Amino acid sequence: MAAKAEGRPRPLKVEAITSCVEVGFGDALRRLKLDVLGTDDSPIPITGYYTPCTHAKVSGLFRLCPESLVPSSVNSFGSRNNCPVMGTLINTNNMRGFQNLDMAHLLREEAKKILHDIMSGKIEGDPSLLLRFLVISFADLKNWKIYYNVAFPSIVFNSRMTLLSLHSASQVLSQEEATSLSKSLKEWRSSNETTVLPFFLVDISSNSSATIRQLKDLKDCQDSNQKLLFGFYDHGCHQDYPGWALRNYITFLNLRWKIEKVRFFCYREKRGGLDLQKSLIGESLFSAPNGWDDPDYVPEAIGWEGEKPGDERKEKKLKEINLESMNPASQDEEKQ
Amino acid sequence: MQVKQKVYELYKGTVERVTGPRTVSAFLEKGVLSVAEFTLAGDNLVSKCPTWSWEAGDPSKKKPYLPPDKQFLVTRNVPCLRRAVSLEEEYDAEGAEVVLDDDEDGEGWLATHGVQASKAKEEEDIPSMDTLDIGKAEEIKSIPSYFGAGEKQDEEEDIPDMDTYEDTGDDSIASTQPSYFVTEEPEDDNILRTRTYDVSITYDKYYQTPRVWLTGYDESRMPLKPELVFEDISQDHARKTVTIEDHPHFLAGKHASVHPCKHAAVMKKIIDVLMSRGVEPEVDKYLFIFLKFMASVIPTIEYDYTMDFDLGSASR
Repeated sequence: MAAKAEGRPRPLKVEAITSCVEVGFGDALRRLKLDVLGTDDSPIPITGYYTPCTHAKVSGLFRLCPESLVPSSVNSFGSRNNCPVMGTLINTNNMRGFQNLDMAHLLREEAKKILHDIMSGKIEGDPSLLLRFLVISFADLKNWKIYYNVAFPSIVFNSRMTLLSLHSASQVLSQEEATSLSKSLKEWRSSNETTVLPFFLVDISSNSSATIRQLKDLKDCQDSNQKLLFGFYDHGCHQDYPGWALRNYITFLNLRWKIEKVRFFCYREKRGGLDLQKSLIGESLFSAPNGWDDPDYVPEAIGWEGEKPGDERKEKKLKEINLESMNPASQDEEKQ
Repeated sequence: MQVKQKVYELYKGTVERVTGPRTVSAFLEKGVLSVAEFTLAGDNLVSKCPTWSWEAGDPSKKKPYLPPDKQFLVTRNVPCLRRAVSLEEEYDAEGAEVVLDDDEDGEGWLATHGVQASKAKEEEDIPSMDTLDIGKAEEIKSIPSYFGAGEKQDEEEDIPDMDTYEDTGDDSIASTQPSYFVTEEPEDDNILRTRTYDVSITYDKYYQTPRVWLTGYDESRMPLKPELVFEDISQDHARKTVTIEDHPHFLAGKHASVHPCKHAAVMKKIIDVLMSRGVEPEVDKYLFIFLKFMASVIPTIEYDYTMDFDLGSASR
């Protein structure tokens, strides 16, 4: 059950996110293309829905659903089980256009937005921007298919992130601290105001009581001799690796707050409450190299889903949604 | 079959339009729920099991008799670690099935195994009707252990699709080859075939009971063909009480659903058992009992219905 108590520093590895694209998203995109977009292939803002890991054996969800395409001005969908995350959709008009997209370039552009949000202080107000994502697609209306790829951009610098230690939270926290933390996180998760904020501060005072704070309230944590953990909803379920969100979090903490050594807390759930066994506490070391703060700097980025070593981009595997069941013609055939 | 189903849906829709929603409680007498009771029981489920939430669904499918933001209940990303078929082979070997409601149609609800089988490790993941210890007036604590016990034992199994990324830094960034991805290839025979399900509960106005819907995803989170969902349904129910239909609150896709025609009768039977043991179940616990009962139809889908409180008031 417990994470391996390896003490030696090692390169930080994280568990990638696997997107879950509902048939309903494909159908909503089909209708959007028919009724609104036409041949317009300019990027449009969409919403993804993120959850921490909720079960020991499967990682948390990143969903695209019909609500994802509802304009954010009228989209009120979001809950503890659906933390909204901003993303970009580029829907091309044909397969050739889809295949000709410069995926590496598009990814860097999204990473640049994340970098900009970090430096402008926008992340403090809306931490979910660290999870910004990108979808490219081609809606083949004739054949009732949607082809797509999803990326979760993560900024890469010319210096490595090092993992100094990683343990199950149950091994690190005292009984009193664990009880207090569970209680505070339960309140955080049941408040409409905070439950959709995937990044937060855990402030454990010398008398073992834990307080959860929003990132923008960092100043309240910087007195006295308490323990400060940088918490986040971790989609991952692996005991030896934190989830993907940690990478941009570490980048943010270093670039914006100049913190090199980060004590982080991977929040994972069981039956809707904190799972101390699965949740991880670890320490990472990272310092950004010079030059990134040049206004024209375009960061390197990684994050196309399913990207494997030695992948040639041209042979990238497409994902597809089959909308045949929405085709009135095929339904008529069934009836006969 | 398709036409028959359509005609039936048309008939049912018409009846639903012309009859008002139930307002008087007949929970104890008939095992059915009024709309207000469904909302009450749903609120209780969401508060006790936060993995469940209320949702509004597609605006064009909104049912006017339900609150606009509480149209149906859903829990997503529920693991289904193995196929129900393989489970039943084991049960057959144990010979421990209990028929709860064996009526003339031969469509009785099955409790998937008897008490004696629950000692075996394999069965611990699976909720059973019999361990819902309805008769006791004390707190019911038996259910959480199903999940807890299973997790520990399965811990060594690999997690599928584990892509890991290593930031090697220095040299590789500018190079064109993405040489910094590290993939953990699970051992072939060690891959955990983890399908996941979105389980939703809608209110069926015609039968005045909740109705369960299943939307499946395969091991790589791609939508599962509805026909493959039958592999995760107790074979006594697959293709009989479980059908593939349009979801009442989603626009797209076909979804598997446990047909509610017998729900009230079975719920009434469970309520009678409870009453005979001196416990009068409270209506806001309806969905906990109902989900426990559904577990006999979809025994390998591990949704949460943890019950660590009283079912109702003891009348002794």
